[in-house]
Amino acid sequence: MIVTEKKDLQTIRTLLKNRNNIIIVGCSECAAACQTGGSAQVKEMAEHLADKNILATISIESPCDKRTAMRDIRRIQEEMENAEVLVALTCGSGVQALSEVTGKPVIAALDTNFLGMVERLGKFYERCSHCGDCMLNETAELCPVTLCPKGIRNGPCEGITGTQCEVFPDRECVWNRIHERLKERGQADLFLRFHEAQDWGTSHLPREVIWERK
Amino acid sequence: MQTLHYIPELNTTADIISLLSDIGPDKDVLFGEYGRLLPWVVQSTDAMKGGNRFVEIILKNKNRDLVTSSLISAAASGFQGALIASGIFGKKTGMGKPVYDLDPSQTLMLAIALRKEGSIPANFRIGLRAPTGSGAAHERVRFFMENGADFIAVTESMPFPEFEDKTVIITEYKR
Repeated sequence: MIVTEKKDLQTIRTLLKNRNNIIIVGCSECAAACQTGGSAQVKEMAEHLADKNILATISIESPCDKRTAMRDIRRIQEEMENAEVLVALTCGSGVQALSEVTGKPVIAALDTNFLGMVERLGKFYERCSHCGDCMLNETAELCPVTLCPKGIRNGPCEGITGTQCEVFPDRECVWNRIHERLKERGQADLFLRFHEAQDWGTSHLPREVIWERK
Repeated sequence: MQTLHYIPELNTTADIISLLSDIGPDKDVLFGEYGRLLPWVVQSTDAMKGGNRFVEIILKNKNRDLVTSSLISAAASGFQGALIASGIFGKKTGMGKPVYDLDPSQTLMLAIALRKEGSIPANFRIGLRAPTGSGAAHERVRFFMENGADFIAVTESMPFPEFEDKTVIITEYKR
């Protein structure tokens, strides 16, 4: 899940200066789960912007998917034609998809933080940095690229204090956890397997995956 | 057992000279990268004279290209060796993006390869700051030693008896 946080309303108001005809777009997937862009937050935003002319409000299933965005936007085609600007309660990918699909200016009402593991509502944890070079099969399903603040692929670093992390002293060093877990599983040999540095020649931004037609 | 007298921050050349005078010029000194001056500035002072001179190469602010040039520059500048460390990383407002393109193990492999290809001389010593205090730390130190490290550096006395002859103690000096 993409974890998002709301921008402060004053920032959004500033961006809406001299713009009156507005459509508010929410996301009924990730942003809804984060309670930043679901239908309740869309309604809340409409109430905050009651002094503007809200032409429509809409929650799109996956606004980051141009196909669903385009499909759902068709339902408000007339309003869209008159809209000066969209206010998007979506992740950054959603904002850009909406801009491409509608051709309208889109104001990002959320900050996009990370790809999160959900423990329960309100508890989101970053566990994957989508580095494109997954080493979880050798690290007992604990990602050091994400869980080590230094992203060290062959740890621990010299900052380890006992078993604790240098940067977050209240947390156990992920490389200590990996070591313990591998030992318990009888896979201690994996601990010292050397992991090469990431090849940025194949993973620099922006990344794309395009299927080849057969 | 060797002791490296560590100056973590180089801020002015006057400081370097003065600290070195306190330490004693014949002692072995490790110059760090936490100050405003890069360790290469030591070459322009008398501080290169005397005992062995080492440079600490930290990884928090370098990608692999800069790590490579730092290792080669250290050797070319007359340092006897380099101490590789991930580098202290504390969170603070407005801080720069930490780099950590390479970790210490990857940097060791790079340094050994540079030595093998002759980009740094065969007698240029390569050491690593050792993690201590856990089984995982001990395993990592074993990895360093099995993969060509000339020495490991610690700030406490002898956490690795089996590597005693390859352990260097670091004593820190600050202004």
